[in-house]
Amino acid sequence: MPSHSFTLNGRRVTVEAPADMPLLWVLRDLLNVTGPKYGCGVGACRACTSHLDGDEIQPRVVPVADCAGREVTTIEGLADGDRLHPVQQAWLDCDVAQCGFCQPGQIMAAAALLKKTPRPTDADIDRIENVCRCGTYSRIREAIDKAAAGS
Amino acid sequence: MLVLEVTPANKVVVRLPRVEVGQGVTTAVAMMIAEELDARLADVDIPLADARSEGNQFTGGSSSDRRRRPENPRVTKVVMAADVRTAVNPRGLQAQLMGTAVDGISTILRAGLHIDRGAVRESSFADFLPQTPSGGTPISLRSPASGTPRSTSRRTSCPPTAIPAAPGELGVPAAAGAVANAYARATGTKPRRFPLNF
Ligand code: FES
Repeated sequence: MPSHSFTLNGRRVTVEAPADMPLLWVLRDLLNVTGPKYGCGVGACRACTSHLDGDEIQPRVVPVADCAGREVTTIEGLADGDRLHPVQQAWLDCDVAQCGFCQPGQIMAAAALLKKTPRPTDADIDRIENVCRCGTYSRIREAIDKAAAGS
Repeated sequence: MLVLEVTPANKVVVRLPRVEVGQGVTTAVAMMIAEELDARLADVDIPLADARSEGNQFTGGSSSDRRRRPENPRVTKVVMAADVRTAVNPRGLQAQLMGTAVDGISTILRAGLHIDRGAVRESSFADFLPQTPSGGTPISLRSPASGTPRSTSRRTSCPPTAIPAAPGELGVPAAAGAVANAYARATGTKPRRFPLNF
């Protein structure tokens, strides 16, 4: 079984897994990092959204071999120690979560957006396609605007 | 030409080049203007304009509302009120109502399944098109949910001592019906098949 090493939330990890195993299985089942959620299994609902070298990815559709030597960040690694990421803080302030299942992915998508586009327009926010069954969309928008205004 | 005047006393006056013969056109126009300007209906005054040479002094009952069949109808504002008796967690209640509004909007506008020769065409969320922030259907909800808890308690009717009722799916049928009715009002066409964007 090939082994793959990468940086996960600032820590170097090595796993043994088939090269084409989705990163999501590696994170959740082998490394017990369960922030990225398993929703649709095809990269459509985006509940698993995380970052690879700072860019948004859906770990369900990224093979672990593609991550070798790179930096994977999940919701668990977004905060700076005890200091929440501005997006996380805005999420708390706006009380965004309902059932919460989609929220790690929503936050990671918003953080990736703000990194590239610190002052997003409505149209920029429209491009986030993460699905929320509870329909928290208007508070998501509110929180992104708040995080953008604060940074 | 229409002139919309805001007087120093903060009244909105529009002289309407139409004839009011009981069809309610002044009320309909006043409501639309109040809605667009976030003004109080009582502050909008619609006197009838003097007769004009271009001869457009019709009753206007049918044309005072926008008559069109939009390609991609969207909901730009939702106002909700709910009586759940006691709101145990007002922010949670607001959130749930917003969710039900999103569901109602989705159901009417675009969330549907196609059956191709007996099989469902849509395979997952990506083609089922529930309401999301994307997809050209932006919504800005102004429900009891927006604003501070203070303004919420003013806008939701919750007598403080009654036993709480479950808000669960409360808003879905109301929101769906409201969106379908709004579409009928905006276009002059009563929709009978849903979703509208299919
Ligand atoms: S908070 Fe429940 S699915 Fe988004």
